[in-house]
Amino acid sequence: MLYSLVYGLLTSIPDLPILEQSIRNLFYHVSMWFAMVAMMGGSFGYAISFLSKEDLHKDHRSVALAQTGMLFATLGLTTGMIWAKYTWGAWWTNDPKLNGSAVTMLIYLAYFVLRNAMNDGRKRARISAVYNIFAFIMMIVFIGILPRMTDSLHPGNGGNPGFNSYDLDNRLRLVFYPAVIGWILVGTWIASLRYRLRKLES
Amino acid sequence: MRKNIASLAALAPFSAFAQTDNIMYSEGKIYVVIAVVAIIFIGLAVFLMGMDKRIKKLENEK
Repeated sequence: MLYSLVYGLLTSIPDLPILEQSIRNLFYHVSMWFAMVAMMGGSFGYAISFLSKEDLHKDHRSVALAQTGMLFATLGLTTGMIWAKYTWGAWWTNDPKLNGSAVTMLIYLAYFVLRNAMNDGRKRARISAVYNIFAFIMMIVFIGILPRMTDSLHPGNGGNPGFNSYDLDNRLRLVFYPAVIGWILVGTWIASLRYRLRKLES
Repeated sequence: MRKNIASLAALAPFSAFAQTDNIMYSEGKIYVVIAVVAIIFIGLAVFLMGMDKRIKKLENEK
């Protein structure tokens, strides 16, 4: 983590127009979304495992991971807005990836609302686990599939050239991959802290 | 006088930015990166403070 934070600022970068130094946001903004998808994936896994084993601890883990994923989504969205303002010229554009991630966040928000609407522990866990599976699949559709089918300002989508062609050269990769792994590990740690907290509260 | 005009002309590309957001566009937009890093830190701090509150509640119950 420390390595990625420090080298994210120090490493030499390719010379890019418009983006200039702000390509360094790749290490911070993009790794937020990678961590978010990883957290939601974990949450999805525990939702399935709860449905098969009916163990409430799995439900706690699933919720903790979804909450941590939501944190990363919020951070990814706000940092993305800042970056968009100074590269694309607007805080928000009607980019399919932007709208898709906003819809995804609303879907997960509904997950938390749904949970809070029910009191009975087991029933709540079962219904929200089913909803979680739905939410995860919708997330894949909205941020993984739909943006690739239309034109997007994001790299790798539609008519835009992908990551590997020009903007993710080896120097960036050397920092970006450790950053993604580091943030996923930090996210897992935060989620496990939240899981333990939940366990103590119940 | 001539020198002044020359230096003004050199600044011309930046003058559009000088009126608005001059800091964010300067130094190759490095301040955008700083803003992003700051937001991530603030977000994490707020999240952890929420957990701090919940732990405090548990401590008080004991």
